[in-house]
This record gives sequence, structure tokens and C-alpha cells, in this order.
Amino acid sequence: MNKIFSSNPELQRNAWLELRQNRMIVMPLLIGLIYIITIVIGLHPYDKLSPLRYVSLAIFHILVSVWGTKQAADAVASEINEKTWDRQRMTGLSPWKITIGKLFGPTLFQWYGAIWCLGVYFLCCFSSDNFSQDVFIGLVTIFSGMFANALGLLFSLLSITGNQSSSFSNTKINTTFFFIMALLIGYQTSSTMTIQGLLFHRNISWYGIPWGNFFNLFFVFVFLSWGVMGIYRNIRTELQYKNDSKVWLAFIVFVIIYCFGFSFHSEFTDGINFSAFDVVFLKLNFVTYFLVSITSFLLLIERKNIVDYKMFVADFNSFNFKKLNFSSPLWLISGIVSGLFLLALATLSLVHKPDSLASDNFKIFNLISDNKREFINQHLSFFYFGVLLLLIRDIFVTRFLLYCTNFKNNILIIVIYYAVMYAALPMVFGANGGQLICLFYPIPFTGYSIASFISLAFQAALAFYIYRSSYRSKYLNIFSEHQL
Amino acid sequence: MISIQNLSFDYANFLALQDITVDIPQGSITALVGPNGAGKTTLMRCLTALTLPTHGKILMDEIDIAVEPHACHRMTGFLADNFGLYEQLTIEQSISYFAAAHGLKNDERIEQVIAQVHLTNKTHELIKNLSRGMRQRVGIAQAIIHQPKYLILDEPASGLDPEARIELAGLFKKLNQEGITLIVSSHILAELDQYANNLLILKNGKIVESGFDMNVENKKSVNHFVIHAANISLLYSFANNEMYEVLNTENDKATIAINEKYTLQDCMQYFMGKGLQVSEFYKETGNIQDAYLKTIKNA
Repeated sequence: MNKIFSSNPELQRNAWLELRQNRMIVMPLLIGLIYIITIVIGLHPYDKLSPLRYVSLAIFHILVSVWGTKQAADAVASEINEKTWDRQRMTGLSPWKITIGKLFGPTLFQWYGAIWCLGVYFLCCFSSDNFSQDVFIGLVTIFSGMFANALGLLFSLLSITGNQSSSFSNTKINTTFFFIMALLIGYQTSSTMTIQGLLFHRNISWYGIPWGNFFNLFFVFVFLSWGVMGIYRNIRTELQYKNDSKVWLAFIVFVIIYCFGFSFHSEFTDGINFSAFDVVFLKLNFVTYFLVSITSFLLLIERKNIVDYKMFVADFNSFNFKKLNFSSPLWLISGIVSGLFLLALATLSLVHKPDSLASDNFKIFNLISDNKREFINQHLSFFYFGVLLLLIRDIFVTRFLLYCTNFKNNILIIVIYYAVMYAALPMVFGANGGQLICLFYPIPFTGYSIASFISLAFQAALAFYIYRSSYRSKYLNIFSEHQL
Repeated sequence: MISIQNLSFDYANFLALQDITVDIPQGSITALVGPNGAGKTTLMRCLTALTLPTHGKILMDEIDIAVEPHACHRMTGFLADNFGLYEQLTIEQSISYFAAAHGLKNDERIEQVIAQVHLTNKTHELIKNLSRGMRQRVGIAQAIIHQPKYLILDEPASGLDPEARIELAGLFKKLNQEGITLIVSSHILAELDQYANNLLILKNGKIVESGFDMNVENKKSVNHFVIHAANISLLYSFANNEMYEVLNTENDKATIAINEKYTLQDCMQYFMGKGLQVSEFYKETGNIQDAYLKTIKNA
């Protein structure tokens, strides 16, 4: 252990801070107390070990997934708040050493407690009827915890990275929002897979191959690896290394391949066999949904400092693709790919009508409308153009809120914008079958698609105009004429 | 040597640095002064490659720091104005961490640095319990642990008591004698006078004055000399206004301006011949405060 710490000074520093003698004694005592209470209460009179297994997992999640994720989200933010980050940036620590140090360093104490829980959990597995499945659950849980930690650190880094003024301003960074997002997304991505795939014995078919338990373990690990890669890339930026767009593009390709591999479960389709075209069409929808979601999420949390953003705008306006490869924000890249997918869907829906989707038995769209036949209509392509316009509108509104206003907490303002647009407005205009909702959202029903399209085109144009004029007036004294 | 070439930096809607070109000589102690908002901190952050300039470049020993920021970090130590320390660590742990982070595995160097900043008997003290002066010394120890060629300090004496300031000035001179080039920004100009031998004055993101060996002031007063003599009042009775002009007198000291036609030797011979009991005779040197105030007024 000492060798690991001495090879990574950041881990060593955290070990000095986190693994103090009194804490190391108190942690196992507390965990032991919880186990004693569990045994005494004895939820299962004939099986004392099953409750211990569940309690072990629960303590693990509290320690690692919740507390550890908060610690990881604070890892760099607290250094900035305490004014120690600049000094660390000037050391000879490599981006990998800082990545490992920041991910596992502040969570050392939580992992120390987790080792006790995992020890008890795996010991109890020997008494389980389904030993291999329980071991898989344990392993997936370990990676899920790490994944949630990685997301916490990644999200806070995304909002900090390149924000040069933060390192010497007196504004304190609060990571609570990133911590909550990491918990939500981490849980959705990994725990859902664990519960559905393992506990409910749902066999996941990917590219037609039933992968079994291995799928969960493998992909939680793959997601974790992407998370760590994201942290590494952001740390590189902080250390003034230049990053090109290749890795982010690779991640987008991974998401496309990953989403495309899923088969639609018979529960959703009532066993109807779709035509090959319909399957591709549905999968394209599935992939596009994720791409648009990723772009929207990045619009919310990714921040470049204004100096870098201005450079990006200059590169964009001069079509300097060589420089854009390094200066492009991530949302732009995923936004362009999302746009291409939306255009592909719009085109496909023009040339070929996906008949089997009109089936009464097709349940996916029960969420949208009771009258499923209405979904497929000649104006379906307007729906996809509408989504694209929605995305464009959000890009300009969020850029306006980030760079053209003087709000202190821009992220909170963007959260409020999203809450109003995607929660409050649907409630107000959608109540009692309200039809005005089509003015704010692309609605895939006959009679609404074109109205939606026109309204969203107007909103996107208005958002662009407001953004452009505010941006020019705010930065006019610095900018050359060709810049936005 | 540090060579700053056409350096500009803009913060969204104002230019913090505007087309700065200046060389900072090796082995100097440069006083970086200017009013609040002049761009001193931004310039220092650019010099440490923590912030990359919008335009222009900085060459540190011929290395472009925007291209190789890590080479710059290896050569540079930095103490920011509002620097932070790891409060829960001891002095020894804190210095050991930075030593290891710079790839140093030599415990001797850690002891050496702790001794250099006079903290040897405090090594096991938690940083959170240290006085402001000691914290400053820990900060400097962290900045010099990797034996940088350049040490950049932003307001290092702010908040220190006079005793701690004098100690700090002594430490800077010592570090300079050991071969480190220092760039120090401070609002306490009298203190910079004690150790700085180069001056860089910034105003509104532009350099309004720069010079080596304090010649900012000296070049304007090349013929000014200070004389110490018990019978200094005799100076007025010699009535040789063609050779010199008495600028001011104070106790047994007078400042004179020698006419360009005459040399220092001529003047000395003349005074001795007239019976002036000269005990000291030296060239008047400039002082940062005067130079700064004059330059800022004229800028």
C-alpha cells in the first residue's frame, strides 16, 4: 500500500488527510454495530446471512456512491476554493497521476469502509443459492460506485475546466448540483442494469447475442473507463495540454454502437416482427434520443471561459477547422452528430413510411398518445426538424445566458430555463388536452407538426438574434468585424 | 532571461495587458509595480504559464512557454497573492508533497528548504496553526523546493508585520545571491527598495517604465552626488556656481548637481582645496518610490 501511495504524491497527500488513525478505528466499529443490529433484528429468522448481504450493499452505496461521489465532485473544486489548485497545476504531476489521485484520493476513507462491507458481502455469498449471480452483483456494485465517483468528478471538472478566472477569484464553487447529477446518471446507467439484468433475470440481448451477467459487468466497466478518460482529458486541459476532438468523437461513436446493439424486448412489441427498415428506424430514434440528451446535458454543464469561447467563435467564423479541432466545445460536436441523425430520420420518414409502427399493438408510443395510428403521418419529418430547431434554440438561449448576461450563477439560471421550458410550460399548456403545447414542442401528430415547426423556427431565429446582438454589443470593443 | 514579446491578454470585455515587450535580465530582482488593476497579477499568471496569453509570447531561456508550459513550470516557482496551503498537513508533509510532486526523492533537499526559510523547529506543526509570516515562508518553501531559476511572487509582504517583512527581504536577497531571478510585485515600495535592482511599472495593461539597476531614476540624475562633511555649510560660501549647484542640505549632508563641463575629480579637488572636510562622497541613486510616483504621474 505504501508503495502505491509513494508512487503517487496526490494519493499520499490524501492518505495523510483521510486515513487518520482515529477515523480508521471508528469506521469498522460503526459498520460492525450496524451488522450486529441487523443480526439482532433478524429479518429472516432462518437465513441470517441474506440480510447481511443486503445491508452490506446498502452501506456500500451510502459510503461510496453517495458520500464518495460528493467527495470526488469536491476534489478539484475544493482545491480551487482553497486556492491550492494553481500550485498543484505547476508541479510535475502527470495528468494520469492527478486523475488517479483526484478520483481515489478523496474517497480513500469511504473505500476503506467499503472494503469491510464488501468483505462481509462476499463471505455471505458462499451461503447464497445463486453464488455466481451474487458475486456478479458485488462486482458490478464496485464498478458502479467507482463510476458514480468518476461522474461526480467529471461533471464538476467540465464546469471548472478552462475557467481561468475561478482560480483567483473569490467565488466559491459549489458542487452539489454535479453531485446530484452524478448520482442520478450513475444510478440510471449502472444500478438499473444491475437490478434489471441480474435481480430480475432479464437476459440482455445485444446485437442478437444473449450476453447474460457478463454484459452488465463489462459495460459498467466500459462506462467507468470512459468516465476516467473524461477526467483525464479535463485534467490535461487544466495542465495546459491541448486536447483535440478525437476522443469525444470516439465516445459518440461508442454511444451510437452501444445504443444500436439493443434489441426491442418482446414486452414492448407484443411479439410482432418488424420489418428490417422499421427496426433500423426505431434504433435510429433510440440513438438520436441519447445524442440529443447528451448535447442538452452538455449545454447545461459544460463551460468554457470567455477567452477560450471567443477563440472558438473566431475559429468557427473563419472556418479554421484545424484550430476548431482543438477549440470546439463538446456540445458542438455532439450537437452536429445529433443534427445529422435528425436529418437522416427526417429524410427516412419522407421516403419510407414505417408501417409496423402504426400497429395498435406497438406499445412504446403509449406514452405519447392513445391514438397510435395518428403518430404515423405524412408530416413526421416535420417532427424531426422540430427537434433540431429545439436544439438550436436551446444552444443560443444557453449561450446567451452563459456569456451575455451578468448572472453570478449561470448554471442555476440554465437549470431554471430547462425547468420552465420542459416542466412548467408543458404543465400549463398541456393541461386538459391543451393544444397550444405544440407551439413549444415538436408534436408528432397530424395537424400539429407544421404549427410546431413554424413556431420552433421562429423561436430558434429569435434566440439566435438575441444572442448575436447581445454578444456583439458586450464584446464589440475587442472583436474584429468578422466575429459574431 | 525572460523575454516578453508583444504580450496581450484580454478578459472578455477589457484588455488586461496590451502589447507588452520587455526583457527581464537573468539574476535580477525585478520590482513589478503599478496601481490596482494595472495587470500585474495577469502578467504574473502569464509568466507562470497558468494562463496562456491571447497574443504574443513569452520566452523563458528561449523556450516558448505557451508551447512548453511544463518546461516553464520546471523552471519557475510562484507564490500567488492569495495563495492557499493544505491546512491539515504539517509543514514537513506539505513540503514533502511538493517535493514528490516535482519528482524529487531527496529528503536532504526538504530539510535544506525548511532550513532556508527558518522553519526547522516547526516541521511537525500543523499549517493551520501557523502565523501569517510563517505561512508565507511555507509558501515560499513550496515554491522553491524544485530549485527554480525564476521565482515570481505576488504581494509577498502583504499582511506581514515589519519584522517579518525585513526577514522576507533578507530571504529574497539570499535567494537572489544563490542565482534565482526574482520578480516581485508589491504595493510597499519602500520595501522593494531594499532588494530590487530592476523596475517594471505597469499602468492600464501597458509598461510605462522599465529599467535595470534602477537607472529609471539614475539616468535622470547622472550628475547628482551626495557629500557628507562636518562643515557642509561652507558649500554655500564657495560661490562657484559654474561648477556645481547645491540641490539640498540636511545636517552634515548635501546633494549637489555637478555641471557637465566638470568631472567628479575636479569637484573633489576644489572642495579639498577650500578646506571642506569631506567624509563621504557618493553618487545619488534612485529610489523606487520616487521613480514610481514620477512615472505614474507622467504616464
